[in-house]
Amino acid sequence: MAQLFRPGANAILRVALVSFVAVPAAVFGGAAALQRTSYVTGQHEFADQPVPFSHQHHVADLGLDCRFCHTGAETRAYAGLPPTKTCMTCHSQVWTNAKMLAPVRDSFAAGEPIAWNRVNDLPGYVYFDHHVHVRNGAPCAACHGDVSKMPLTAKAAPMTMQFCLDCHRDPATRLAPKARVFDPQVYEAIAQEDAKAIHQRVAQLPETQALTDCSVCHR
Amino acid sequence: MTALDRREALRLIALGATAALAGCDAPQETIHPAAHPAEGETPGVVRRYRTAVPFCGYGRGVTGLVVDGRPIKLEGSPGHPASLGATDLFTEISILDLYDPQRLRAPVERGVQTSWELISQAVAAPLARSGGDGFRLLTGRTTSPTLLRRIADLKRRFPAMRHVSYEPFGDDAERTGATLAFGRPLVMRPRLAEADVIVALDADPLGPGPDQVALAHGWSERRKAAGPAPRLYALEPSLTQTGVVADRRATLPPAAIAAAARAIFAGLSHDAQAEATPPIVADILRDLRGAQSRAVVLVGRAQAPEIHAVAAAINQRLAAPVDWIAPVDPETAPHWRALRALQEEIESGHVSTLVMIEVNPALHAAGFAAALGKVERTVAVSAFEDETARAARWTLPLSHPLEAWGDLRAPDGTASVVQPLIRPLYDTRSPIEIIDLLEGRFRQGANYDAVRETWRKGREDGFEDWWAQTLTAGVVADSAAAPEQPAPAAAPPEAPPVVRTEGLSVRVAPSPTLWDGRFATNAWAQECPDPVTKEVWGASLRVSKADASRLGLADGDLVRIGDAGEAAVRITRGQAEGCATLLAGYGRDTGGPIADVGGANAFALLRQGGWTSGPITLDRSGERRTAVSTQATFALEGELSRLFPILAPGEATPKPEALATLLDVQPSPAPAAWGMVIDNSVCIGCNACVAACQAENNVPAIGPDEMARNRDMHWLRVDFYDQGQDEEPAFGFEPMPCMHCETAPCEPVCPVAASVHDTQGLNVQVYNRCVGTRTCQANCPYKVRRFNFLDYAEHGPYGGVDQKPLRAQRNPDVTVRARGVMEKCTYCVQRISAANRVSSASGEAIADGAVVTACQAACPTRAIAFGNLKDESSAVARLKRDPRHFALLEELGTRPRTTYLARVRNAGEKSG
Repeated sequence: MAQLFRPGANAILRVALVSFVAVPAAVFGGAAALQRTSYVTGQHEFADQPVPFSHQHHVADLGLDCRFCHTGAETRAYAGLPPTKTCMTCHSQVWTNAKMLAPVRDSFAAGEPIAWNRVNDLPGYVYFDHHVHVRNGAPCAACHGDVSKMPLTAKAAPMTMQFCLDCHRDPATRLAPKARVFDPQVYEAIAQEDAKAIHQRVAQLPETQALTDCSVCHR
Repeated sequence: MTALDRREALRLIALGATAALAGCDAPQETIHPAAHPAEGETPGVVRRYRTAVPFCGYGRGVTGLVVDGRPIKLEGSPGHPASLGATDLFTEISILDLYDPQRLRAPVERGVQTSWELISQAVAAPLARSGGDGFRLLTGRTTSPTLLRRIADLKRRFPAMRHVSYEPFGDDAERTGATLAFGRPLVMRPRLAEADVIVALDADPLGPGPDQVALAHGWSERRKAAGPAPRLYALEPSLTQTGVVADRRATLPPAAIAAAARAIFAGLSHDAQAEATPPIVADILRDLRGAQSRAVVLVGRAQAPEIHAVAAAINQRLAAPVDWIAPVDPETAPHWRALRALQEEIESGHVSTLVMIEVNPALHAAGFAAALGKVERTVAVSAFEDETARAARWTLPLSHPLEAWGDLRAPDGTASVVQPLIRPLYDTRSPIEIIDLLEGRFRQGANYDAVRETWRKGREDGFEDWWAQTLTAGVVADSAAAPEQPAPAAAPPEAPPVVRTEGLSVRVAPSPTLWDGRFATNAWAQECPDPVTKEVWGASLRVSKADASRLGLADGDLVRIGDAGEAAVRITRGQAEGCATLLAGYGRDTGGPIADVGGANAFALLRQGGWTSGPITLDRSGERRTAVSTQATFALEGELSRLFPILAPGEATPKPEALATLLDVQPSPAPAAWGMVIDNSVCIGCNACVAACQAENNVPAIGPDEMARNRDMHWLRVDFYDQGQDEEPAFGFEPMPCMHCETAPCEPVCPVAASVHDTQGLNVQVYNRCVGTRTCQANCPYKVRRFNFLDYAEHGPYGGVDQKPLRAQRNPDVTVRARGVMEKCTYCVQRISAANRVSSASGEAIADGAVVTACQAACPTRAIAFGNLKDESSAVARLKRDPRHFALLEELGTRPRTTYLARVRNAGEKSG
């Protein structure tokens, strides 16, 4: 009786056995890895805006503080986008006829809000509070990057749960002295002693341990 | 549904696979910062405004919570006498009415949309020509000073018009009784906080009503106070909330209660040993004589005016802690008589224009809808489609009380200015604007000016300051009615001898959830369990066991009740023989998906007046219907004393020895350990907490079909217990939120760790982890976990109506849960989190009382305490040391954080 299997069958079986494990692992692993790429998270992506607002110009060139426009950053959950009225405090005086600013003037005249496209968007079941982060020394740049180098605003961090947890597990690595919280280039200027002092202070806080509770961000 | 064939199945699978592969991007969201923000407008921050919402014409103070311009929740107003910082069910559900997708949005003439201008021409113009001849204005009880002033203006303009006001469940008998006693209609306001002995004769002071919160608050203050244990007697034909929490209770038919009132009066007058019929009267007399000026007798609206006169005389003799005040609303005629007179007038053809504002006579008065055909111009002003709106020629949409300026008086006369928290969502008008319309004029902002004009009188100097202060306080200072000192009551008239009727009569009672039917369009109200029967989306006819066996009826038998329609029979304990009870508000024909749940219209039984029908025959249809109910078992033999211990005054709950455990329970380093203590002794089962939780936590209504499948979504339920002894049954309520067990049985069984503990001791449910195995629900011994079987938030019981407006009510700080996810009480984690964040940012510790859960804030009797157990001086830690303290199912070793204080029942010695 002839051989039922040809010699090549062994190889096929080995490949099949390996792929039985490897293919699902690759599929799931690949999918998981894909979730973390900027293709999915949108990190470094710009959103088109009705007015091409430049943080670089307003922050680096003119020296505006974050809180001039984002008034809630220190006091509320939402840092907030400025009302058109805030834009017009200056732009009723400077660049009054710039074509680029026509949507701002229209909004001010009509009383209709400008529809800005979201750059950072958290899922509906995640609750983020700006003021508690800022007051505890988490600088704006920790999540929003160095906006003084952004001609158009891009998403600086992946805003994944991993990203949040990295800091919540060991906040000291990302915190800054309170005086420098609103500095867009905060990390470049933190001295070694500052970092040490922060680390010591944070490690003693009883709430540091609770920072990874689910109820801190989900409710 | 036709069976799926193979090709179709393959096609669908392929479609699904392609869709999954193609994926879909998250939609690009936009942010819209206001161009010119209003003063104080800060995104995402809750702002609180004091205002008032009406119920039965009276105002109840509320604090409206507004986020981004949307009112999302109503809480109590501490300075308001009808709120005292708490709410009731009807206040809590009022916010849903604002966003209800069934609301009327534009004026309609016979089903065709019309405009306010056309209505003004068609209604106001003929009035102006005729001088108001044949013009009748029908409203509910009206206490609003501005509305009354404007109606007076209208009367000056149209001298021949008449204003009729009626409240279906009003106080006709009480006022007529006071007239018999004192010669004028006075209203009795008991001060229950000062009463050692309360005798409720067919009365339900702790049940639903415009003054429930104040009465329950006073009663609970006395319960909690030190000193001799108070006693509450309830003599009633059917179990009410007052009967449930009473220390002594007797089930008596209405006529026997009237006799008992007379026996009490006779016993007190002659100081002799009264004829002890029934035996409980002897005990009542003993206690009344003992307590004297610290005792009060209350009589319910269903008793005859003569019995109210008797009670007035008793209370005067006792020098009872009651205030007599002149009625707050000026309508002195008994409301039902006024309505019947109007109906006769209509039937005789004397009415040519009838304007009905926020009333539904077509439901309440038999034959009224048909009589409307004889009126040339009928206008129904209503927020929702109802029987009257369907019978009227024009239906005008009414603004919600949170949409318009106005004013209201509380049952004690205290006035509040009603300020709008949002602009009208639709093309609606307020009652004041309707009066403007009838005068043939209308302009924007007229409400505001009218209300200010009313209050400016006599306050011209410094009016703006006064106005600002009044709005902030929520009440007009010193506006309560002054108590009067009536002359000694006349000897109560002898009532005509009661004709003993053979057969079954039916007592009509207001529904604790729908009242007279006005809340029937509200899905939260329909889904709120009846305190005693726990029925939802309908009400059965309550029949005593003796009557049922005499008539051969079984639980669930569908019967035709006279003209009222069909309802299922429910054999109920605590029901008097010969007297069945039917709740009002059902048997509706509104054309809406929520209100029309079937049942019998109780008002059809009341042709001869009063609240008890004549003999009624029940015709069995042969069909059976199982009532939808959230509680199947009421009496658990043997286990009751552990699940719901009832103590005598001064007694303590047995303290079991600490259980040995293999679990490693370590104290958490967190500064807070949240816990809750609920005092069963003062829980009146009013469901305010249930609705408050629903509003705060985005709990959806799911509809009768889903409820029948036991898919109830309420995060908090109130269990009703029945000790199951026949003679004088002992009942009680026990609210059941999540126990937040320290060693929670739900946690180890979750395969994806969606049910976990946080360091502050909360048992948290992580929605985005949950895969819906429901193992936790099965393993929870307290059965407090709820599973979202369908996408209830977006697919509620509204039929084909677009539900998008409901989204505006949702609390932005709470996740709207999706399908396939387990959920449960979180101890209002969003409020704890807010306090934690403020504390973390400011560095200040959280003070005791800084975190108030929604149920706690709502509770009129302050039965719920919540706080940090690590703070030894906190209110909740103090209650945990109370002798009455016990944990539910402690023997399971779950170490619940929610614990209870046992109910105290001061039954005393029984004679006879």
